[in-house]
Amino acid sequence: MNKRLYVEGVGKLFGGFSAINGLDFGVDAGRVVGLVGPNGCGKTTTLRCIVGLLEPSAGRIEINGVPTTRREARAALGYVPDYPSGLAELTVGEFLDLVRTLYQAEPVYDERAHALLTAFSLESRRKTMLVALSLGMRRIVSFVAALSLAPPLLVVDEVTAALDPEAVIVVREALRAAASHGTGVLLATQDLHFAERSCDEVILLSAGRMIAAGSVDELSARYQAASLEEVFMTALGKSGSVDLKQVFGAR
Amino acid sequence: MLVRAVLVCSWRRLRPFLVANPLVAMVALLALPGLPIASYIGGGRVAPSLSKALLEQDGVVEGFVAAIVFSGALAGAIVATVAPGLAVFGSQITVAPIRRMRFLWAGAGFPLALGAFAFSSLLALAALPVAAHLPAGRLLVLELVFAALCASVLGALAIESALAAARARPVAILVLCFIAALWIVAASVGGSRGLGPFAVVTSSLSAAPGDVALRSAGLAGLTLVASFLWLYLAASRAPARFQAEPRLILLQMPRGPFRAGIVVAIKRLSRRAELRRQISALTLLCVLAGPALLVFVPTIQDVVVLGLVAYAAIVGVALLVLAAAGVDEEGRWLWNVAPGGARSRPAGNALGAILLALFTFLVAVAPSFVIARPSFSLVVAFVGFACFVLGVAAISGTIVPWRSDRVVEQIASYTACVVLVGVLWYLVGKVAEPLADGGVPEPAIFATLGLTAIAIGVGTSVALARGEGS
Repeated sequence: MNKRLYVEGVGKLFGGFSAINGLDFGVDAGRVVGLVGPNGCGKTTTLRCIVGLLEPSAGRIEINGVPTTRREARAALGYVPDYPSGLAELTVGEFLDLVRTLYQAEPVYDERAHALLTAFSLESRRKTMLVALSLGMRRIVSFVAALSLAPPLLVVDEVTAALDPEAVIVVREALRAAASHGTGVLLATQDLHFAERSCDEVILLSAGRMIAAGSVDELSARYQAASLEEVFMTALGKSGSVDLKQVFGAR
Repeated sequence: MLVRAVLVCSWRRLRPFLVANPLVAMVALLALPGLPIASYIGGGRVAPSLSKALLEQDGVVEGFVAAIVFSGALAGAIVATVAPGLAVFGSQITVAPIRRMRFLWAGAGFPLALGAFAFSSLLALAALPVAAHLPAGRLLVLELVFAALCASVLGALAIESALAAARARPVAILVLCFIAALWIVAASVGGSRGLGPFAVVTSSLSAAPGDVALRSAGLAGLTLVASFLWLYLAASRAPARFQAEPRLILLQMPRGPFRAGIVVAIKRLSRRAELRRQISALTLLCVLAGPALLVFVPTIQDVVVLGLVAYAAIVGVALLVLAAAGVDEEGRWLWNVAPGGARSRPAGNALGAILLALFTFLVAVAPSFVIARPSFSLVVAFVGFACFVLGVAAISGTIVPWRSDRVVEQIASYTACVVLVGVLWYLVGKVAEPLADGGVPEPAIFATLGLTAIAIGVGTSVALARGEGS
């Protein structure tokens, strides 16, 4: 298969703190790979290293066979950040135009953006400033901007947070459609149901290390679990039940 | 495209503010054409006495050039430490496949170039009447403007290089060596160790000015080279920063919204990376440059050096107070729903910022004051003036909050503060003059002035504490 992303031995130190350590994985063309794990396990740090926002302390990252530090690698990449920020006073349409210009995208970008905005019921908000949109809507605009590029690799960070159920379904369908077109997708998410339904492969991170990887079926069989949620709890050794009644003085 | 996006965003942020505050809009509209006129008239008023002093009194030329260089370097250091870099575009745009220098040019370089152009024009207008009284003639204006610009760009480059060198970037160490070598070589040619490449300006201000055009061209060339190097280094900053665990725990949170406001302001402002960078850089500049000028350039009067150091320190620490309201707004989701402290907490916030700024000011000026040993009344005058500026900064920061990732708001906030300080200082002078003539001791006037300004600044912060949706 054509490797869209190749990650080998990647680690990131912040001072003396190791945020991620010795990560090895890849994303093939047409595959959707999910990074899941508890808060602070290094998902966003991993994605930031991949897109070049952070410089890894160790290891090698290649996008489409090119080191991630090079501009060719960035040109092959679409990125949806966990928190869309910056240039919030541009309208939706202006923001999409800006992304198209920066990436020198083909004219079909506009058609894709139009179709995606329509699917998310946001076409009527083209002239609305980003600052006037809800967080969920801003995430969708970021997602539309990146996906309309039809990039070889799409890196998506927590896109479903703050989205309504219908939008989550559209995101899932859009990711599957992009994958069928040949895009490799790497998404970090806390939404295990979404990951279960969207991903061909799931990578489970804990404390900056990869503790399990495989398809949902493989992981379920390995941990004798009925769902990805059970895989998550079992692999991390969590019970999921905490008695907090006494905190509130309940009788 | 990026420049346009930044300008559009800035204008769209500014427009609702101007619509909501028509008085401020009107004052700004009046101030815009007024500033060039005021510069020219101000230059004209000081021209005869300044040109006479420059030509006839020992040490005035060096002091004058040092003031230009110090002010320029100070402005540059501020720019280098607070220029928002790539953050203004957000992480999604930042990873686009174009050169980072283009981002930096659009986000910081272009707005700053516009600001520098405006400032240079005002400086040129002020210098024009002075130059007309000197043998070098009007060509001197060009040299003075390029000297100021060059000093600011070199100041920015030195700080940016120091920051990059701290991250062990070899190119930064090369740039620092280049600046040091340039300084030493130029100083040996110009004949003044303290003024480096700007020592040549002293010749142009003398009775036999020589080739002013050549020196102007040299300074212009140096400005261009240094600007490019700064953009290059700034563009290679790490786009995302990790906020380390705070190692210094100042105090436990006290009870009561006023005291809590003070502590929260001190903790937040001292932990903001962008503010800490600037304050550290300027404190370092004051701590090193003040004693260096006192020791190595003895021809400059001590009081001039103390004035420069105090001025640099005030400009630096005023940022803390300007930023306090903007930083505080980030917590409005909590402040606005909390059941108490609607008045006392903003007061604590403003006072906390002022206290932190005052403490930093004293640290920055202490070495120079220890070496020069000024009189008690002079120390009180400097501290009183610092309190006055900090009080005014609290007012202007509440009206136009300084924002870390928005260079246009930063310029607007500084401008508002400078204009307000200028206007109020003029008015205060009118009131204080008869008091001083009537025998009231100067230290008492300055102390009263400083404390009053702080009280009014804190009061304004309370009165204009912003509500939800502002």
